[in-house]
Amino acid sequence: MRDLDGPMIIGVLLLCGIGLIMVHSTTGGSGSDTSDLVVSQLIRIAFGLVALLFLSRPSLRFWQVIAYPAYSVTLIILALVLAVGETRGGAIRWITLGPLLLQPSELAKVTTPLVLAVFLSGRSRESTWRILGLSALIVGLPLFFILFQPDLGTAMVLAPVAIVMLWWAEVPLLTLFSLMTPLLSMICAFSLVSWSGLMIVVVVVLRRAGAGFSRFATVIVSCIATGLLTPYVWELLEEYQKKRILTFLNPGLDPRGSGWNVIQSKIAVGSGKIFGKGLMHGTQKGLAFLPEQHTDFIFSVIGEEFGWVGTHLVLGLFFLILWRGIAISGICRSPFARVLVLGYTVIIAVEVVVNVGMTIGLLPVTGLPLPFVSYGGSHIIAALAMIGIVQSLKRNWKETS
Amino acid sequence: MRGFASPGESDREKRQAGARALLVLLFLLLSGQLFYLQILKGDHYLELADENRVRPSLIRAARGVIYDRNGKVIARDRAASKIVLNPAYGADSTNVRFLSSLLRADEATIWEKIDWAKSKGLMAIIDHDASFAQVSRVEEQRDKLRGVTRRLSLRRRYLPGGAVAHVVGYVAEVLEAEIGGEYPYERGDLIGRAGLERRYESLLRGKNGLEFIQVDAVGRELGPLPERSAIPAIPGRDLKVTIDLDLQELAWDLLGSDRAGAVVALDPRRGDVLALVSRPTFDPNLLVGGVGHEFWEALNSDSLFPLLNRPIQCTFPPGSVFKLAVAAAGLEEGIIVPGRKAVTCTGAFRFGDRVHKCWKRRGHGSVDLYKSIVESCDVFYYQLGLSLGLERMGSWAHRLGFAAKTGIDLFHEKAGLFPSASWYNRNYGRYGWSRGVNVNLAIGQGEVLVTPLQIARFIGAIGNNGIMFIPHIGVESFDRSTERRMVFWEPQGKKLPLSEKTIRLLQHALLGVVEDEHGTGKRARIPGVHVAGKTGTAQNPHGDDHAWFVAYAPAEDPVISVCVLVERGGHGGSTAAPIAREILHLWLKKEGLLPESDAVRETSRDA
Repeated sequence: MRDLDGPMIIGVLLLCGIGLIMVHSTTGGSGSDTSDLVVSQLIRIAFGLVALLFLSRPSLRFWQVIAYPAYSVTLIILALVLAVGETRGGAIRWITLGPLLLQPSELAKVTTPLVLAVFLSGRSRESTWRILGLSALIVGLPLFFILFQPDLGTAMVLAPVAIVMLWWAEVPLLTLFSLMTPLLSMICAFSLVSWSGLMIVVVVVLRRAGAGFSRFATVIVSCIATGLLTPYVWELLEEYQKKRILTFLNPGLDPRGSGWNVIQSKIAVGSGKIFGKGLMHGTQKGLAFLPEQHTDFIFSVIGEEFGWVGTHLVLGLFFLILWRGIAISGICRSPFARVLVLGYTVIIAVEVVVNVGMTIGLLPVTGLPLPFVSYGGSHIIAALAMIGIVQSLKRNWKETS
Repeated sequence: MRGFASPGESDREKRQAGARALLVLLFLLLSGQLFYLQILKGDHYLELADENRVRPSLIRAARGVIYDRNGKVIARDRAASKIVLNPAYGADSTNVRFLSSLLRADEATIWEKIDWAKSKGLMAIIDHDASFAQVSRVEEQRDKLRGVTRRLSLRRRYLPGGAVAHVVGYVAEVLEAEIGGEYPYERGDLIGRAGLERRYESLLRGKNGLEFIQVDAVGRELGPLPERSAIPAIPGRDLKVTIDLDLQELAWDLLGSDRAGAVVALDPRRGDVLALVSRPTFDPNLLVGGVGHEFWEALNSDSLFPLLNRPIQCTFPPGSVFKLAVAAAGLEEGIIVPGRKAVTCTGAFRFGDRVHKCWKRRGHGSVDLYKSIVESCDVFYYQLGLSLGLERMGSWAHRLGFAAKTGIDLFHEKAGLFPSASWYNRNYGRYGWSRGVNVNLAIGQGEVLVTPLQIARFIGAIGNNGIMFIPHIGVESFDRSTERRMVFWEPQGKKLPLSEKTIRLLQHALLGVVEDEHGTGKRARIPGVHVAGKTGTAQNPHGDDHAWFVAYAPAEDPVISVCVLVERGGHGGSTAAPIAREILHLWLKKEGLLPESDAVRETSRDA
């Protein structure tokens, strides 16, 4: 127990506790199934904490050995989901394993960085492009399945994680930047003004970083290509995804449709003011205004009932966990541990930023839960498992391979 | 060290600092937005949150009940279920299709209503008066419908339907222009548009209340907000009118659905309007709240103008009925000297180069005043009209209440007309008319126009010994909230400028019209009671003659005067008199003025 990182564990426990209270608040008051949700959340947290303790035990070597088998199993399950998964809320994300309802994309969040870390820590002498290509394959395989479910949220988490891990594994920033430019070009492709602006930025950055002609040409050509392709791909997107992206860009477009969530969530958070309306006293929540309030929009309820103080307490705890994550990554001697700890840290960071950003109107609605806090089984267990593995890596920080 | 080329310590430090900076930056962004939402805009969002869940909802005040003189309900509000759709939530095809299947209503019609409401920024009223089955189907599927609410609304119901259509009028939703400002109305309020509903609008109208309704995210109402108590609605005052519903309905039935005409029954001692009937009619219940465009078109384009309240809004040549007024003038002016056989009727009267015929081709022979009225001799009045002249006839017509509004408590009353010399000059030119008009005017033909109400009032005044009352319908109000009863109308009568003698002579002649064996109004006789009356057959340039019959009873001390007009009805004595008889009969029976044995005999004969 004393090998655990105190501040990180305390932060995690507090967040889990806050989550329980908020799940009780959002579902409490009237129904009899209220306590059921709190109890099942409690069981999952307990299960996750046991997993955390269990996973904090193994040696560094164990993780390196288990990485590829675990990854393979993940891929098989992901493929199975597409075949026999259960549909919920318009997407097939679930698979029934006995009594447990498993969300395999959560499993992918744990195993993909693991494999990537193993891969990156053993390939320093190979060419950057080869590393990049294989990394893309490692991330791309599960990503492919996940996008097909479709689960835009989880897919959105894995991509930045891979990029940060590559950066951490000493792939030059310029290379990563070059890789990202086509993606940005895609995003900007819908408006000539923004796309032109992006191209100017790209040219300036490449010039200042002293990029060679071949790189310069490749980047520009790929940017133009993606910029042209995007409108075509757009047509292939699911209607609800298009709608979500559009209403993110302009929530006023459809105040009763997709923009509804964002507007209502902002009203909830904003109306909490400094100290909030008090536990169980949220009116937005009380009248079932917020959709999916105990899962994806739990942060809105925190904002409404506990105000600025509440939101900053939660953000503060996350900041503490993430800060410790970066610190642990820094002290580890083995590159594998360093990259993996950072990878998990980034996963949690992205989830927090995307979820909170969504509830306060900074980012589109993607259906990502708030780690440790939102109601739900798989994501809590996955997050606690990641924290457990981080503890194990921290315990073995002196190991170098 | 396997793997990474021994990374420089400083490089690693730099990346770690970079990661920390990135983390701080992202969290500052979140914190910044939270500062904006919760601290800077907190009050604004709090307001939005309050608005979000609370919708002020009107409690419509019930309109006053309209009772007849015996307390029978003529008009009252009835609770109805409105199905309302909020276009902001529920205007999508699946939702509307589902709703249309529940209501068994046409989808396109629903869309029309939604589109209209959308364009006005209003709630779409899908069904004004949903049936119990419709309501229960909608309520059952409440969770699957979006933006659909059932509202209890008040609907005006006119129990006697078409029989009271013209006198009671109808209500309709206020127009956009009548909302706000000086008007006390709110959107969706009902306003009296015709008849008593309009005349007594301020009395019948209540004051709306307000309640605060909680709504959920999809616009479903959850019930009243506990922390804000409702402002109760104050119902409008009830109105008691002089109409006798039985008499009204009888008159309505007697006129029949295939005829145009009017019936007015008054209490000559007070001016109370006992019945005011107009045919053809319409069902006022169909005009309440959201009447279809086609229905309005049909009503307005009907050649018989069913919306017109004939007893007060239509003027007709009075025909022989007007002879009474001319006779009164002749007596007062000393032109007719009672007892003297003044005129010999040969069946025709030559004036200038025109021959004016009497209705009786063979002629009436020697005619005095009594005979002139009882047998309705025209020639007598041709001469009398010439003797009186236009000015004196006109002056007496005005003095007897013609060519002026009676002052009944209904809007759009017509005054009628008795032409003057200047009127003829204006309309026909200085030399476009001659003294010959007097011949026609004296028998109630030509340019003279009266309303059935004026005639009923005049004949009643004769029976009432020359005292003429202003006809009136609304008499009493009752405030349900304060339980205060108020009589707001007292009968207002004035003495006609007729001598006792003139009145006696006219009364005697009127009695003869019905009771004399030569009388033209024999068909109005009621055994056991003396009925006085006068027939009239007015020439109609557009078709068959209009049939008039006016009467009062009992002749000695009348409790009712009645005027029956059947458009294109032919002879007054044969068409109008039997209708008047039934009306008088019912009223006399109700007043207990019919001898018991006669009443029994009457009913057995009816059967």
